[in-house]
Amino acid sequence: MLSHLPTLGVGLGFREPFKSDLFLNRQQVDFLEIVAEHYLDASWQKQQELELLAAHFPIIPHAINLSLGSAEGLDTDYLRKLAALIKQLNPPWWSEHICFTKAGGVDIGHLSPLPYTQEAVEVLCRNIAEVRRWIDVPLILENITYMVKLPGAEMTEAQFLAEVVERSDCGLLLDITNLHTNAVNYAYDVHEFLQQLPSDRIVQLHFVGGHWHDGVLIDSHSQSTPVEVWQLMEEVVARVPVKGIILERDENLPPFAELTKELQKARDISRSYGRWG
Amino acid sequence: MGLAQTQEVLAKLYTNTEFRERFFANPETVAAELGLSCDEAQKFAQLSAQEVNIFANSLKWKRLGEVRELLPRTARALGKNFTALFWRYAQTHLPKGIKKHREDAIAFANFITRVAQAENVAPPWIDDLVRYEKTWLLANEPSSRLNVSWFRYPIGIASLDAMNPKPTIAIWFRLSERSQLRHIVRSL
Repeated sequence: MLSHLPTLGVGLGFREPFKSDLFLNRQQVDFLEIVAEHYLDASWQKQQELELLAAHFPIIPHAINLSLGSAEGLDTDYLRKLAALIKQLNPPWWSEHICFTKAGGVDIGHLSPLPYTQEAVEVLCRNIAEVRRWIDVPLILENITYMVKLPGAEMTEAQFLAEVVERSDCGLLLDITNLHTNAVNYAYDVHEFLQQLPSDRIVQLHFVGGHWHDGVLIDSHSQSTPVEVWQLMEEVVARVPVKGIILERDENLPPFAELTKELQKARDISRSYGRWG
Repeated sequence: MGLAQTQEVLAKLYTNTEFRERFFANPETVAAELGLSCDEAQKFAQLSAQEVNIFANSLKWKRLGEVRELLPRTARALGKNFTALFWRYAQTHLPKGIKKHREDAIAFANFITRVAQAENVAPPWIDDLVRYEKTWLLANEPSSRLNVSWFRYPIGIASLDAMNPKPTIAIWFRLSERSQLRHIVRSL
């Protein structure tokens, strides 16, 4: 199923501040990823914005608060709205994170790691099966960064990710910055990690740069992409015919030319491995 | 202990300062209070207090950043007090839902108003300014058609650096759900 997904190329996570520049540089952006939550319960103006974007770019909805890893189940009100948005956009795929964001009536406000246990795999698969009853567009799952290592793991993070995507029959949205960040903060071998992932399930990549704070690398989407992440991109693209690569810049926004320069670099890497023209 | 209970405890640890402090001071006692077995309590006790604290603080900083963007003039007027007040407010309030940042900013505005009245927080016109920015957030909802507020200071007209008392009315309205929000401010 995943091999039949269309190739979208190199694109940007859409953020409102660079809307004008985006349209002035349309030829350098192949597709956009939108944060789905920004368009749920949207005002008429936000709906207009979405329609404008969709008229000019392929759009991939990227959800952040479905909480696929919640053992208490999913928020069906959120799911219903998300399903309506995805139906409206009819994208080739959509994405969410391997994490939980809600539990016991508390909205944590961020992507929180799951314990790497069989039970968490079961919960994710059960929730994904429920999601599929609402949304029949292919789902790809993203690896997150974490600041807390949970005790009681029954497998490694790489084994956990692999088992989740295989069991749930989902694609993988491999965030290579997240991979690099966790590898640095928890001192593991990123190449060994990559070897354990099912490469045929990697559909899309995310990349950007973070910053250091008190000896911890923070996934802040606030800096240009570091050399280690470019090297990772090359390593992945050499092995896998990824369908799309997204630059996810949120903070400390630079002039748009800096973003397009990074997009061009990602495009050059992909072209050098014959991934797209 | 199943994953659901684990996640409930984690969510509370990440977002409730008092619970977190109590837990890390004596993890096994608090775990027992939650009905966890000895093994389960020991598992939770392996959590790094430093890691959980860093994560919990990052969540609050993230909220603060969002709220600061939604209440920009209040943030400027209060300076460092804005952060200090937010830290107090965030001890007891957690926003929910799709528009949680907006809900957070409105709830924080209400908190500032209460504290400003009770504790004489400077400047004297802060109550007016907070109400003004809060009303902007309320009026931005498509379902909101008309909002009228009175102020003692020329909020929305005068510079924050030169605020002198002057009765002022502000009106927010839209002709239909799809039309742009319009805004008028007049000092009398």
